[in-house]
Amino acid sequence: MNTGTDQPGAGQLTADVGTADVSTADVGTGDQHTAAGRSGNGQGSAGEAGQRLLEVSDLTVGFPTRDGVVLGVDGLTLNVGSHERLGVVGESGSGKSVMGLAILGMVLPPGRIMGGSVKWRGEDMLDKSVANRVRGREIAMIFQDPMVSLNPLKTVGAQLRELLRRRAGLEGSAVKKRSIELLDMVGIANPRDRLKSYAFELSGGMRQRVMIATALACEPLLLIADEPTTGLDVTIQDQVLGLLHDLSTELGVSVLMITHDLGVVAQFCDRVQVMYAGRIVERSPITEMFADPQHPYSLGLLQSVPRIDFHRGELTAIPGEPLDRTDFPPGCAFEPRCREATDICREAPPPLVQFAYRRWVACYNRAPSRAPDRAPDLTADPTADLAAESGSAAAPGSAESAAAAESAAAAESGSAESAAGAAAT
Amino acid sequence: MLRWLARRIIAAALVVFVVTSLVFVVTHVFTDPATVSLPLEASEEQRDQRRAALGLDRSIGVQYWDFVSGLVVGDFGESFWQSQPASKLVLERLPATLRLVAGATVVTVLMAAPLGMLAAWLERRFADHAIMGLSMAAISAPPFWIGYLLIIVFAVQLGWVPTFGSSGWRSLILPSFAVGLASAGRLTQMTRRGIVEELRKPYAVTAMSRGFSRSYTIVHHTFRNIATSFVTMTGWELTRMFTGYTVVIEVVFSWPGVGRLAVQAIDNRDLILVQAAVVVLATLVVVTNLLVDVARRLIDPRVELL
Repeated sequence: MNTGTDQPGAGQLTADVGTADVSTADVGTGDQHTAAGRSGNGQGSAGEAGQRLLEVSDLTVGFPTRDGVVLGVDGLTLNVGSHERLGVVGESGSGKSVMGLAILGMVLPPGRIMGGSVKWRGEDMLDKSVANRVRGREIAMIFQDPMVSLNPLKTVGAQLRELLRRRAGLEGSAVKKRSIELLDMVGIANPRDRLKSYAFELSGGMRQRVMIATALACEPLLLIADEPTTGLDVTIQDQVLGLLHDLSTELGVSVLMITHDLGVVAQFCDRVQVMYAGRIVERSPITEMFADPQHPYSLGLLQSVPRIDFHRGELTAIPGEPLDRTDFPPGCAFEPRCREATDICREAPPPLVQFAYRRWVACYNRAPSRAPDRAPDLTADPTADLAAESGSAAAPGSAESAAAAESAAAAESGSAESAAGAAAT
Repeated sequence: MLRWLARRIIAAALVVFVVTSLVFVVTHVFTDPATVSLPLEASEEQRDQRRAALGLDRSIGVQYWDFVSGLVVGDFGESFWQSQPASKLVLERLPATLRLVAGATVVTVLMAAPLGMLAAWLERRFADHAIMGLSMAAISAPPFWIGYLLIIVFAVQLGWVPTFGSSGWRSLILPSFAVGLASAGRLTQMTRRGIVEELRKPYAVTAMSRGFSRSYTIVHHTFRNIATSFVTMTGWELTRMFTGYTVVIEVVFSWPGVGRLAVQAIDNRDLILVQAAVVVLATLVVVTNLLVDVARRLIDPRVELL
């Protein structure tokens, strides 16, 4: 990846990561999956990279409460290209899940979309007819709790049949054939027998596999995965993540991975956006994010996660508590918890500014001052730069980026939520 | 399933036995059928005569044995008022009550299910508030008042249906509504609330995220999932109908059912007949509960076979 030569800070990363590679060699099958899938993706998608699928700009979702409107998502901007795996990371309550549903044009009442746009391949997802067509067919979502996300009273077969008939337009014997094929694809043994099973007869991992099968039923181009591994055992988490990775590579499906787990992001994603209080605070390719986090919140997240690749001494929790969403500061949302806050931080929310190639940050103390000497190319507009981003994101074949991802994946399931919890106590 | 069913039937029979025994205790130990059946000014001699005629001078154990062995063959004793076997009188009236409850159940279910789904579909919109308001009114109004209102509007003013009696299906319409409206109101509210709750559950959100419309999700996913509560609640409403609403409404509409017979029996101080009516109604309640359990088991594969 060319950023290594562009940035002085990246050299240090490569060194850290090199040692990590050795220590993670015996981590397990999940990681082997990942490594294989990753390099495969690099080759497969290089040709068609840059095709823009999803463009969300300035999306704002509000929930009226007694104390005024709470913004679940506040001016969110993101892009997902074809064959891309984008991670959105943030602690609970940062608006990640609301974001996932809002992209599908679904906001549970009393919440509503108050501004911004969601464009899917150029079409307006906030238009009901477009959303009805795209939902489940071109964009499918998988949810965090597989124990309750399948209908408890319908067999696996009935749920697949319903989707294939009504949404994929299959009929007759093709329905059953495709159902079996889908279950087989997600690694369920004896798929024919499993069609007759109810969700309560399956284990958590199996349910999430069925969930993934129903998501893939209509051959979507984008999968939104909202904490897909949260409710699962650690070993199962790894399997499910590996499965998602392989499937996204084989089928060429882009994935928007919503998670609080930095390990998941490192293991799975090409790029990552960090969300705090409904806003994006940092956006970066995965390698640079882990090597050189810019926003104080990103830094805090990383410092609160144990890593086995180098010794850092004590883990640090982010001071303060997650925001009370009804009492929003006028300036930067992270200001009350930020060690580096200055007066300007209290005045207005900092804009998301590009400071280096493919890197953006929303912080007064970082971007403006560091931008000139760190960013070789500031001509690109943050929202219009996707072609370039996906282009290089799709070729992570180089040794250091794979190694970096591995090392961070090996970080023992650290999470933003545990960081926030530690801070609260 | 069959073993479970057999166990349930035995349990239900036990409940019926306990209930009838309680009825016996109330009528024979706490009160005296002979005294009750005679005018207040009757002499002690007349009472003794009546007691002897009814076999009430025997020991209570013997009387109980008589009562229970009579029940097994459907013999509840003889009504003083009608001088006929009480069981014959009650069984003659039973079909009319069953017809009324069936009609009321149809009204309840056919109103509650669609209206509840509609209100949930249009959550927080005008139609939702209107349906909820009307169902609240139906719950609050006493059934006898609803009955009179229906008679005045539809039978007297509009003349669409007969005012009373049980001739043909047309005469069944008003009493069915009178019995069923309160139940329909409660079930509508329960359905609406249940579906609105279910729609926020992950499986429903998942279904909608797969592109199924809100209405399709309500009908094909959430309603099915509240069906067990719906059936259970319907069972409770049937219980209320058997033991309460039909009694009142049969009187209001001069409906020749068991409830009205029981009221007449009380008026005529006929404890034997009251006893027979109570035992039959209690049995219907127990049977209803048994059917509800079977239905729940058929709907939800997770219901334990206990």
